[in-house]
Amino acid sequence: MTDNNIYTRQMAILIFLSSTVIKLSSLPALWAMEISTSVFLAMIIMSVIEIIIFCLVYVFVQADGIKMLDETKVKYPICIALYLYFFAKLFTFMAFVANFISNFMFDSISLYILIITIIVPVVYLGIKGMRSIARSGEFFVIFSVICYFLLLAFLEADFDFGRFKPFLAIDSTAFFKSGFSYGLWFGDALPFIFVTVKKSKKAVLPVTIILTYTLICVVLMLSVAIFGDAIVIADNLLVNLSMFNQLSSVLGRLQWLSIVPWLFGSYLECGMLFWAMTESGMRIVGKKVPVIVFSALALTIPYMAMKRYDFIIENTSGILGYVMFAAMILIVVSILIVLNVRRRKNAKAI
Amino acid sequence: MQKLFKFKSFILVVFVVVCTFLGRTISTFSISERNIVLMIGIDYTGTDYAVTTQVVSPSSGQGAESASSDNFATITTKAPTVAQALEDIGGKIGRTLSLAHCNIIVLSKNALLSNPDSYLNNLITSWLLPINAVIVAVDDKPENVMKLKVPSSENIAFYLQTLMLTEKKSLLTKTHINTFLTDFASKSKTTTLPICVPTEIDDESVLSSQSGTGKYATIDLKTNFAVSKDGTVMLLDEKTTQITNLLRTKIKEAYLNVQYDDYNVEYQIVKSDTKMKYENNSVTAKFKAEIALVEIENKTFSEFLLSKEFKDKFMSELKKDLTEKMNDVFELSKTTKSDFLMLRNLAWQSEGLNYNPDAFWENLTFNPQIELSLVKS
Repeated sequence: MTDNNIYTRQMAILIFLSSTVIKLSSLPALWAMEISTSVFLAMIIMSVIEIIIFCLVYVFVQADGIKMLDETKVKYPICIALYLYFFAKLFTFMAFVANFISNFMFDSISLYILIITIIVPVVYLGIKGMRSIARSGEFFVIFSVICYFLLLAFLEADFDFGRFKPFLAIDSTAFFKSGFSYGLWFGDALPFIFVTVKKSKKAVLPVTIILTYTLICVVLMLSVAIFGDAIVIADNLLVNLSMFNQLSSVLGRLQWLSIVPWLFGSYLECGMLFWAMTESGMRIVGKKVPVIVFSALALTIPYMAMKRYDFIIENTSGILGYVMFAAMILIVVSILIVLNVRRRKNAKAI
Repeated sequence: MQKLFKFKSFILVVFVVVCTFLGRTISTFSISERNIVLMIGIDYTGTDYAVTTQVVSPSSGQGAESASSDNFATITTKAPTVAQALEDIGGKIGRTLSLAHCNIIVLSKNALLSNPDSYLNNLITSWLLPINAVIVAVDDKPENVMKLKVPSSENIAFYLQTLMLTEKKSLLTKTHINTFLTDFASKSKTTTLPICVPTEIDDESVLSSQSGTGKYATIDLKTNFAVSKDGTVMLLDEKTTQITNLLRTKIKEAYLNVQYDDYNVEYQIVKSDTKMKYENNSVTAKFKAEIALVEIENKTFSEFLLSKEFKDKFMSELKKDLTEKMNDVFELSKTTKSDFLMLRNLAWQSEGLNYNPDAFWENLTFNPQIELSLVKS
């Protein structure tokens, strides 16, 4: 197998780890500031869109689309768009990880130190390639699943499912306007454009995707039932939920049940985004090492110049969010058009 | 292969060097350098926040089993903000305060009127105060209650913690920080908090004496404050508190009494559940409960239990009594416009964007529907 060739089960594991980490951290709180408890409805709608995007990307991956894309000149604009897309996503997500670690775990740490300690393993994972990331995911997923199970099975709080109502807590125009402005938190399928998969007989991938997004919606549902409009205070939803574990009265604070899988997932997600960034950059420039060096520096230098990262997270919505959402759709549509055109050409040639 | 090995080793060395050198620059505090806050009290003087913390230093004791009351210190300081007051306390005792294990927050009436959601939110995010810590209110200064000793526990913080966090029975109001903030952020903008009323007792009446100063007291948490975000605090008496809790929460094993044919009858609510619904300016409360008789004043209990007539009549009287009490509580809420029954939330959930908060209380009616069953005695 080449470095980009993974098993479908590994792809399923990476989807589970990365999607849960991104969707169940700060997104619900940020979203709820604008759309209140309708965040649940918004998440359902966006999850459906995300699942569709995953299916479309999988169609591309299954047909070894990346090889066909490499044969065309359209790869340049698509890869430039992808490079910028992954850069924006990784830059924001790394700021979020650093911010969380500094606020929650090491409050006296300087942010530049954190960024350096995050960027080194992320770059390393990016260099090692998708196969290594997928293997790491396979290793950590069991621990993550156990942690999530313990988190949910022993969750004890004052649930009021009436807090969901009304499902549309704001005007429908404002709801959709706000819903699509968080596009940066979606598009987890795009790094998989660069992989090739060794097909599995079992339907592990569709089952995992559906289970992952069901889990995301269920956790959000429980969170809205606990917090209602005050979900805005849950700056990391998984960690906040772990406070309500009934075992904590016996075993002490069980925040690690969320923090550990969250950190695993974050590193793998960042590594995956960096790898995808370098893959798209390599297709533009043609060489891997300069792209890796440039990408690592392009990520690190802006962080060094900044003293606060929370404003990055606060500005993930709005125009940037719309652009990211539109980019996600356009990129997926473009690669599928390229795939179809190449298939027809190849068929005619035969 | 050799190249790859060299590259791998290089990356590994870089990672180890970065972690080692940069890790040395992080000034983390060891557990012995921290004072663990067990309980925090907040009062507002009009210009400053008076913050009281009950702290325990892990290094001063010789393990949990030998820890004595001397290890606990109650310190108060005043500052324009709660955060600054906490920093001042840390400075006074020369250690960093850790709120990560603080499970009890005591708020005075004045503190409840001075943006409680704002400083509680700050304590959660900046001081890592557990989001499920329990809030109790006091009519007086929090430090007066926090300095008391309780005969049944080593420390008042542990006593309140056991009562509010592990005790699942009874009609006691338990308001966690998340519940407080959720209620405040809701359309009702009102929450209820138990009031901590101490009654001092003589030291002589306590057999197992603890070392340290401070008076012994028993704590009563039977009354509530209804706190509104609009800046009002209303006292709910014991009966109003009981009925409010019956209407708002699922109850397991609570004891109540009712006057029946000149006798005082003690009964137990084995379990109860209330479903409230808002429709066309009317609130319906379907209260369903399993009841058990406990004691009848000055009467031989068994004689009454064998009589079907007594049981039927008693249940009918009890139903009438509960209906009256529920109607009274609703009227109190309506006349004071203090939404401690969370009726505005019901209207919002039912009417959605058509909900009109201004005309809410006008013509609002309440219809309690009570279903009782006698299960055991």
